[in-house]
Amino acid sequence: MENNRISVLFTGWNWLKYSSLLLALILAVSSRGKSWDVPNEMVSIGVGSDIKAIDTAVICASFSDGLLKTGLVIGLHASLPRDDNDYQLFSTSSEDDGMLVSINEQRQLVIYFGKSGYEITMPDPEFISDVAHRRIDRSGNVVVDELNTTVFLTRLGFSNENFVIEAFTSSPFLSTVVKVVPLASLTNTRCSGKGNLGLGIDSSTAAIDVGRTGKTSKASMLRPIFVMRSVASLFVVVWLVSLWLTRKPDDVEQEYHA
Amino acid sequence: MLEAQGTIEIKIAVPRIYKYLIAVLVLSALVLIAHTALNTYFGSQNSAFPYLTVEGSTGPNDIGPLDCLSKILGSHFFGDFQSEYCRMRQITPYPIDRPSSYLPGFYVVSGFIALLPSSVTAFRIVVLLALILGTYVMRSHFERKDVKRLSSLVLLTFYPFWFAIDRGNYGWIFGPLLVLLATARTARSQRYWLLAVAFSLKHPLATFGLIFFLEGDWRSKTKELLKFGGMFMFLNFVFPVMQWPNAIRWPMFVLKIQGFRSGDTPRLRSIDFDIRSRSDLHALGTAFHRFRFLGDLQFRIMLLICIVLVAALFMKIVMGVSKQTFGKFGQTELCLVAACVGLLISPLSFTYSLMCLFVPMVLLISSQGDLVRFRGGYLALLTVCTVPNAIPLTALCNVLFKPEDGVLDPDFPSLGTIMIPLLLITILLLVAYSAVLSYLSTGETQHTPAAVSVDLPQ
Repeated sequence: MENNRISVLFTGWNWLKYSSLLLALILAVSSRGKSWDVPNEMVSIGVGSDIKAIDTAVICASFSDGLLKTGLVIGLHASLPRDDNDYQLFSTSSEDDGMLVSINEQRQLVIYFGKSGYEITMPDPEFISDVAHRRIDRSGNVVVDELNTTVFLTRLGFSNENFVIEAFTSSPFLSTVVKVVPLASLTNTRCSGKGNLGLGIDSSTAAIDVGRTGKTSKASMLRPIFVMRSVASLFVVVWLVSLWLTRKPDDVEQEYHA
Repeated sequence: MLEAQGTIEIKIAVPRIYKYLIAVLVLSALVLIAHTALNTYFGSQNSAFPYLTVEGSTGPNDIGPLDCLSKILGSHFFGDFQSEYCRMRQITPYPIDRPSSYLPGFYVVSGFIALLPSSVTAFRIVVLLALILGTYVMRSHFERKDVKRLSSLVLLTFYPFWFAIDRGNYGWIFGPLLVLLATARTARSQRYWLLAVAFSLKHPLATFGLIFFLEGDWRSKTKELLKFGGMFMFLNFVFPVMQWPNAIRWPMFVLKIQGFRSGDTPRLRSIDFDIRSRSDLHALGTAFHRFRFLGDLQFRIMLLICIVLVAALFMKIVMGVSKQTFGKFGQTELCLVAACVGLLISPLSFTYSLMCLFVPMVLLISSQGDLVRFRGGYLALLTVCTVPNAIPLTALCNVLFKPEDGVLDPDFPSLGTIMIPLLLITILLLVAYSAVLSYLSTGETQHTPAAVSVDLPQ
């Protein structure tokens, strides 16, 4: 009689156990393909081994009045030779007074802001040299580094005097670097609507995806991802708790007698 | 008849040990509260004596501003908690500019807290869950009602538990509690996943895997280990890969940045988590090295005094129970070994990592500890280890020894840095001695003809 009651109870918990595991798996797989809140206006431009003048109206609209009015997502993709030279990848102005993105001698990603002279160097060379894919020649030497990085530029808040630059890559593992930058560093940044893209050397390529978002904080841009992952985690926890509830009848009886 | 008398003696002995333990824990907690209150009132914040809250607790500056930082209790940040809360709201919880100390499974079983609207709310709920789980786990071990009633009090006055809450390091709160739950009789069929989750939360707890080898035949052990391995792989490899592309490389990455593996990413190694420079044993060696200013002879005398103290403690405990006979070497002793070894070699051994000792302490108080040799001695040593003891020795040594070069190093060891490893070593010596006695008594039992006595009903 006692065993029957327990087995009925376990049948009920078993339903919870299997359904929570299934939901966790479905949500986890769904969240894998889920991207951040992709801006509506995405502009993609690519060049070969030359330097090309490009339209930077999307970026300039965000930088108007020396402020970061809306969030920006910039995807940077490039193939560059593995040597000791630094390369300018992208700039928002044909002069040196815009926002410049370059790769330095140590293969660090550098973002430089116009006349203010404010420079952000992503700290680890691994960000480029180890994280990015490498093209290898027949003798096994690395000849080309492939950069594949997405940079978020977002305000901390309307009343905050700082903004955030976060660069991330997904290869070989998802990695991020976050920097806080004073908003004043943007004041003199020139953004004329015409910029440059490309490395200007043989066998190199460069491409950029730019998009504005109405979201001012990175947290709000990423909400779809972390909500999916958090709910998946929640179902894993529910599954584990249901494992506890469906302990073997011997264990439960031992507890009852104790 | 004799057996009945023995049972009565045990029932009387348990509350005495328990009351002693409670008294020490409550007293130390009261001293801590009074000290913190007085220093706060008089505005003295410079003392390094243990506080109820970690004064000047740093904000989580390693994760960058993500609109998720909140100060709780004035300027207090509960840094570890907010770091993890904020990381969970990023694209990946593993930024490369500041290594995370967790295996990916940690984010699988705790990632749901990022659903809560703020880190303050999430922190309060986690503390509440910790108290509920802690009390439930302790009650599942205790059979006596009076002992059950005091479970919450023991938990709240256990300084490493409070310290882990204060730092917001909930891996160290829930990890040992899950290990403790896995050692309950009622969790026999479920301990494989309880330990898998616990190790995913805090990998220094892996030493508690010893309890898999305690009982059963090789077939049941293999089956349980396979189930454990499957769950561990699912939490740390399979499920993260489903959520994060290329996450399969994370465990290798985590091991690399903690110094467990060498690699070609030198900048990623953090000295904070290096097993070769941060273990308790290494800290003990460094602490002794700091006393070399005394001169060669005096330094040797100091080492001799430490050895004599350990030997005296050992002999005092051994002599106290030498006439009693006890049962076989069991789960409680294994947990003592696992906790002590885990702490001595752990690269993450801060005050809250002493939560490890909560596992053997509860087992010793419970009925599982009834037949443990040196039970009182273990409890006394564990209690001394876990009361607030990070008392700086700098001022005392400056006054007593007057170093020639002026004042001592600011990182001169505290009392706890020296005392805790020495006490843990004493516990390990006692367990080793107990194991030898158990082995010898088992041999004697096998060679001596069994004498059976029966108490006939009167």
